[in-house]
Amino acid sequence: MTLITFLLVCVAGMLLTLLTMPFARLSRLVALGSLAGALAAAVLLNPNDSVTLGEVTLATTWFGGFFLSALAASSLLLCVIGLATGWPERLAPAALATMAGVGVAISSTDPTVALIAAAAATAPAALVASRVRSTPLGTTVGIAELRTLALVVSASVLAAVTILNTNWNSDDPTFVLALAFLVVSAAVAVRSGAVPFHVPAALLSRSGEGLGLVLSLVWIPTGFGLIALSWNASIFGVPGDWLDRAVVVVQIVAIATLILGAVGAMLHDEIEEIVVYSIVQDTGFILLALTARSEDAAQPARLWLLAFVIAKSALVAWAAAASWAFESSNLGELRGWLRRAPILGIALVVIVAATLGWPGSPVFEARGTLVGLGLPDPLHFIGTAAILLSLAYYVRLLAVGLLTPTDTVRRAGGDWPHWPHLARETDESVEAAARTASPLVLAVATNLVELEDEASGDDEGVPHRRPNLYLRHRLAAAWRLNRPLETSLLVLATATIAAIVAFGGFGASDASQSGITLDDAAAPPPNPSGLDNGGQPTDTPSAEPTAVPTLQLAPSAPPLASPSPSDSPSATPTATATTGN
Amino acid sequence: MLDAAVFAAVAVVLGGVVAATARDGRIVVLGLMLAAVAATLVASPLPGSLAVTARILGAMLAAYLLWAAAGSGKVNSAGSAIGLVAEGAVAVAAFAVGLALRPVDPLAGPVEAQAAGLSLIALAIVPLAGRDVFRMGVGVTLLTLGSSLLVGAWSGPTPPLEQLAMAALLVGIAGATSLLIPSLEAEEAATDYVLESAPAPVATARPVAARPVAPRPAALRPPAVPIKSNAPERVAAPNVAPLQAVAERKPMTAETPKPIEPIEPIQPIEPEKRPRPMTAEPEADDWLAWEAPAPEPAQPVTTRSARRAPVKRLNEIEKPAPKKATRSRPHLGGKP
Repeated sequence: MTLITFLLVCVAGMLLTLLTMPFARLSRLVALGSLAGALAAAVLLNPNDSVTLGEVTLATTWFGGFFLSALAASSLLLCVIGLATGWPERLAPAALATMAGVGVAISSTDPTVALIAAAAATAPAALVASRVRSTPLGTTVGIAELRTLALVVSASVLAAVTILNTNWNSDDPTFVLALAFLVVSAAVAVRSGAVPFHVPAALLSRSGEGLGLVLSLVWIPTGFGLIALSWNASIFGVPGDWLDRAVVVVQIVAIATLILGAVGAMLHDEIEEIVVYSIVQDTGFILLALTARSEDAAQPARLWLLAFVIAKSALVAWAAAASWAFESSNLGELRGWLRRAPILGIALVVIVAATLGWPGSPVFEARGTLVGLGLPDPLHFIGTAAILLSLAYYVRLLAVGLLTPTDTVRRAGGDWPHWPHLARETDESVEAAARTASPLVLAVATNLVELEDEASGDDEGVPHRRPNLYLRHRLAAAWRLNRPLETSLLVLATATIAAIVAFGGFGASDASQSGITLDDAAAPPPNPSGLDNGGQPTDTPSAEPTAVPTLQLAPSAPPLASPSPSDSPSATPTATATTGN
Repeated sequence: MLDAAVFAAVAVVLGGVVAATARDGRIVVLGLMLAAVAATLVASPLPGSLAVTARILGAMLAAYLLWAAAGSGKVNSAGSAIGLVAEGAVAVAAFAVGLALRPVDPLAGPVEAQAAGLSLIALAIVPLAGRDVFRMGVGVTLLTLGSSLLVGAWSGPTPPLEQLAMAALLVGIAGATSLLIPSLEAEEAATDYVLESAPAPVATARPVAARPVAPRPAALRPPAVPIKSNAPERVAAPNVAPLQAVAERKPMTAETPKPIEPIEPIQPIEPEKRPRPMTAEPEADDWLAWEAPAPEPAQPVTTRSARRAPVKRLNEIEKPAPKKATRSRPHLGGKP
């Protein structure tokens, strides 16, 4: 029931947020409440929960709950940051819809349901992209979004059919597998903006989406990539010429993404574009996990996905906070930003640590393992090159921040703490503070103004007869003055959570061990190609009606035993891909 | 005797052809709804009533979302790029191929589902290749329906949860399409006009080749109209005036060629101005916004942040002169 509760909270929250959108204040309250509710429901997910709907079982795992919690926490933190930097009005409902789709996808034991739900979870990206539809750029963004959706849908369905059916009428059965591998990898690459499919992502970065970028470029691709990885080793882990050629193609795309993504981040001067290319670069590791086709890549891939979700969310939040604090996103105008916003600088360093790690740290080892398994030996230097290139653009960001501040940066307050000096403030200043303050501050300040006539003791309006009101007055002003500081602290908190998860904290290491792994002892992997690992034909013609290959994510979930509706006794290899451990 | 699946498959293809070729957005939506509802029934055996209900409700909701977008006047579909006959031929050919093809042997579902699925996928190719957002959404929907039919044909009956997921996917696609349809102004700005490099005081946008201007016969050339202008004599008259004269002529008869519509003087179009990222103007009465910036025109602004005024420190607020204590009520006590 915990899974159903989570899904209900997400769907109801999405609908309520959309319905209340004309009422801005109410919509924000509903959105924040729904995200908080979704986070609570995700945290409380029972790892052994399972629900059977018709012939399909939805089963939860520890990792599934952890991943959904990471998504919900990132969404909530970014929306809270958005209260200061500019409310992303469609991000919350889109995030809730995506979480619902991903929740169904990663808990379904039926591959078709999982992949269709994963495809449906990519549709909410249009909610964010539609913000710019009234501009000429918006048309291009919309077309790119719909084409991406078309590719994801067709790839998902083709992959599902490939998993479910083994009666392909082909001389080389691995051709169908290779085709399915290629389209699924292409869907992951296109959805995540890998090179050479990075143009929509670049367009999105120029459209002023702000915090909305994280949905299209991080949360949705990660969820879809997780589904693709969940059965990657079990389905595609067979030899075959066609499959090997398809793997080479994906490896080329992954290498290009790892190198050119970092180069793009170094060449651009707008921090949104730098952030987008940084995200694009790191999606190369998801493609490497796909090309690994090995169970050994499952655990590091899952840990990397967790770190990727939160660290890149923190990076997008950092960019939003920096743009807002300095009123510019151009790196040339942001010279010296680090001097005025040291907390943002600390947050960026923490984000770098969470993304790259250091030798021996879990995230560093995870990246190294994915490079080692996904690429042939002569190309293992690509991993080191990717780290160095990433460091280059991160160091560039920090180095620019240490230069002499520009006028733009000088004009901004930065995130140093400020304490207002109100020794001789008058009613007007109190009203000015009240006008721009939060509701609590507004009430306090209004109260102060009303009582000042009675409480003031001298000719200058200083309320020394009510010292508590005076203090509240100063607190209200301090709250308003220190808004950049508060935003920076929220970004730092997000980055810290990302670092903790990346280093295996909060149980991330244990969670990444569980979940979608192949259990050889319980059932053999599906072998639709009819070949064994040595490339020889298997001797299991299997005249028996076979069980449908299933994705079993939970150890306790019973394998789906829906009989294949094959109306012929012809051979379908025994293929029960139980993926729980 | 013909199976019900055959009729449903034919209805699917008909709906797809209508959706791919109609010019009126509402007819397109009706075609899509017919295809989506009928696609549920191309199965053997028929799915359970609950699953059928879910799919039909999903199809209706998806159609409603597209209908709302079409009814708002924003949809300006150009119809099929290759024509009704060609689309119909493509659909029939793909249907025939689907009846004959056996990529999976034996098929787990009805062969009509495979035929209808291939037909819808073939119909989806042309819209997906274009740049019309509405037609592209139609193409994505047709592609999804065709793929679901192929799943039914190759993998057998679909469980209820899969039907529910497919319904959600269709609604998601329709919702995404209706959200992404640009306004007419943006569409025209994106497709009809090309910005000149140098701005000029008069309209400088020119129509692109998509709207070629037919050569005017000599009989239609406007008479010489004296142009009242304050400009010196040596300055050439603006070339907009003759076109305005054309517009003032009496309507043409059926035999005469269609007159050229006058080109309205267009305001100079500003270069593309990138919206300021990361921030949005909060509502004035929005108490959840932590900031309600007070605009200050004298402040220099940067290129990407022109819309938000800087935060003014409290100690920078202009302080009025201290006022005299004019209290009408007695002090509450303390220092007099």
